[in-house]
Amino acid sequence: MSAALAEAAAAEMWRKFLCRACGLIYDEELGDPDSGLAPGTRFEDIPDDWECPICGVKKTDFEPYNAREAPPVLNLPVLRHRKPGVVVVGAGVAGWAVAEAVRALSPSAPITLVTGCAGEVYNKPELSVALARGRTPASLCREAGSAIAGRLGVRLLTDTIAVGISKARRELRTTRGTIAYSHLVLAHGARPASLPSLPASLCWSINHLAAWSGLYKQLADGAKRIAIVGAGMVGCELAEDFARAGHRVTLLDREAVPLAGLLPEPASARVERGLGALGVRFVGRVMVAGVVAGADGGKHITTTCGQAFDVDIVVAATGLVILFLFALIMVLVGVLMLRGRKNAGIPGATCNRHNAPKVLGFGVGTGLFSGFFGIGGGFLIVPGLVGATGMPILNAVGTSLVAVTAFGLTTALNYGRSGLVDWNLALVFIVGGIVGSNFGSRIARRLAGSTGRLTTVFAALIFVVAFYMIFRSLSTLFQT
Amino acid sequence: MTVASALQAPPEHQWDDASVIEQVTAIAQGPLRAAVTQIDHDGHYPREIMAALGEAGALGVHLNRYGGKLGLSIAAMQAASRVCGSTGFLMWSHDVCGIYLEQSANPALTGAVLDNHARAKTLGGTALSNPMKALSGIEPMLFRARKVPGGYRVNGSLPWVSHIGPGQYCGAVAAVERDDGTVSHEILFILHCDERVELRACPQFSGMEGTATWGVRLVDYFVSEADLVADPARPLIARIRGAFILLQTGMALGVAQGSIDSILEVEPMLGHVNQFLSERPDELRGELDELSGRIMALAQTPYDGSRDYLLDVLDARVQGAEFALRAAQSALLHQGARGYLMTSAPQRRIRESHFVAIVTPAIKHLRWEMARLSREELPA
Repeated sequence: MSAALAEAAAAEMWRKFLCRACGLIYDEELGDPDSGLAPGTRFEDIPDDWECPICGVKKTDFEPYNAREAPPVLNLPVLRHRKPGVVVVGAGVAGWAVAEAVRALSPSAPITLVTGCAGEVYNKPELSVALARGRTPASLCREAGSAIAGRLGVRLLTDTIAVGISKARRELRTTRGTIAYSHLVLAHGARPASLPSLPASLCWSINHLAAWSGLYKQLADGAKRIAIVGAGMVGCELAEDFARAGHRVTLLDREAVPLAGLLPEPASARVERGLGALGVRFVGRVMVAGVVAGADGGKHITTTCGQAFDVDIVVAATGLVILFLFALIMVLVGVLMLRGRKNAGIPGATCNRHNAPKVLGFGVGTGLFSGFFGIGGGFLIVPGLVGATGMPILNAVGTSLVAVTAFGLTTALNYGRSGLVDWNLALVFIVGGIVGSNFGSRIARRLAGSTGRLTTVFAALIFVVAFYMIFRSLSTLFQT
Repeated sequence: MTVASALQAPPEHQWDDASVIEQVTAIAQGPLRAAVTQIDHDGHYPREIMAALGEAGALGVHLNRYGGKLGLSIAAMQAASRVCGSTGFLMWSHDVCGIYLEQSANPALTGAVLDNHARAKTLGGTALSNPMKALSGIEPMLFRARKVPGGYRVNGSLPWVSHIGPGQYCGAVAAVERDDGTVSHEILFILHCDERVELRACPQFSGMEGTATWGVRLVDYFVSEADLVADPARPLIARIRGAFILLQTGMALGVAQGSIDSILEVEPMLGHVNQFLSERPDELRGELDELSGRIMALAQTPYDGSRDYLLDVLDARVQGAEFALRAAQSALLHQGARGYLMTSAPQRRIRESHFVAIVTPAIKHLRWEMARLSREELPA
């Protein structure tokens, strides 16, 4: 073997050692000539009294250096903005919709989107019906975060947590630095209510694509026994979805029937029968006392009344913390309405060039809220219209109804087409609704005769609903 | 805390809030101001200043034994750091060492040992930089311990430990190894810098030279049960983490406030041109008040172990570091060539603010930790 070849062979094997104390790297190829170690000195040939040239620790405090895997380089479409612009927190449908709307208004406004996830776009309601439809994490994701960010010219900060706001300096503090903003939009959504009886290390909460994808992986290898805790909207939908996908589902709730707070008794009974027909076992009037991991990888659920369930997977569908916040927002809206009730309103108020952005803003806000929570749209549209245009409340009620009908019709048609509507039930509701709303509008007209009375009644109603929601969400949080 | 209240010092040994601040301010503006260049340039370790601060109560009031006034302790550290960041750092090291002693509930470390420490009659620091990073998963633990009859034997080296010297001590952590070399748990102990310990001089740093910082090397160092603060260490560390980090904000607030002082000092001569700079003293003042208000509110409940509380503490600590960096930079710009002189306060504060930003937990570690705490847990 030639000398050059031998050198090349050895060079491939030069090793590096990291000083655990100060981070200095000893490279065998370079040695440490300053302290008498010639280039090419093997680590094992270094005398024991040799010291780290920086911090003075001995050879024994060195370890073989293996470079850590570098974090993925974010493919940022735009450079860090030099000027503060719109900063959006949250990359859900709402967050991206805001980014898209701002970009439509201004091709050059700096937009930064901060999200704790990867920023991919998907339809969250689809998560609770995805399994039976054979969807996969990849097929649920409509567009990668980096792709939409590139398309919109948005600086996207993924895996980044917003931790605080410096209001006076107009800065958002995040885990990847402090970002100046001219406008801040919070669209960070909800967090599953964490209950000590349902530890996060054992129970799934399907609140975003990453969680769903994790569960999807566990459900991939054959039929599983699944317990769903909480028979609200999400719990019932997931139960149906898992059952249709061939899993054995037990649905637990503290009420006697599913969807108890949302539907009248007969309708709940129908839901229970429907779920039963799919093989879902509903167990009502139980409260989960605790979940522990079993020896076989299974989960053991105990209830306060002494029942026990052994399953492979536990899913918590016990609601979101944010409902509580939503209720607080409604209280605030009620207070604002009461404060302004002496104002009779401007009868001729319309949407014009001056207030159009404001109306649009309130509209987007109301839509975001009602779309996000699935409820409460009407409660916010009326104060929204009054706030944006100053119109009298009676006109606002009328206008809001037209708006709600339009939104509702579109959604209803979609649901109708997908065969998810129980027409008999809907008919009964509609007949009742027509009668009730006739009376309602007459009362409203009469109350509107005296300034502020209708506003007072409306605000009072908002308070009632808000406090009911606060009560519901608190009782969920403290059910154990 | 029932244990703590049982160990409360008698009223005649308690310090009065107003007099603590008054005396600390007098020490800072008097002897400390006179010594600051010597500390920064010649590496003078200000034992005499620490002794005076201890007598004034600045190093004891955060302990439950003396009323648990963490906010007062931070305010005292701020008053000293306003003049000398190195002294502020020594105070922090001394303060957290006091917390280790008190929280140990070890009769050999509380009582007279704690009282002498609280009054700075004896001096001791903390060697928890590496362990804090190790427990967050950032780097390996450097001290290794093996169980032996009556205690542990510890080996390993730490590159830089501050506020120590022959005859002094510090809190330290070692990972306990089983016979097969795997780690079973960690211990927190008081390390006495006696003849068994090799102290090595450190390479020169760009600042903080007067903080008695040494490399520590242990060979079969025996830790007796009398010197054990916590075994296992993790529960105690988790308990004191909020206080440990929150106390550091006193340095940040002080460096920032000193920077505002430097800006105001040249306002009569340079105000007519300085008005064109950003980060003016009134803005900085407003930010200082807002931040210190938040920190004082957090200081009411230093042992609140909740996730949200810890996030708020980490956030305030990052904000403090960023604020100190900006304020120090602004002070240098405001003072111009005056501030660029080697003996000027603004250029020293630039280096002090860099230290606030990189001392464990550094800005990057704080953000790493906030991201870790915020991550939603999913089932395995």
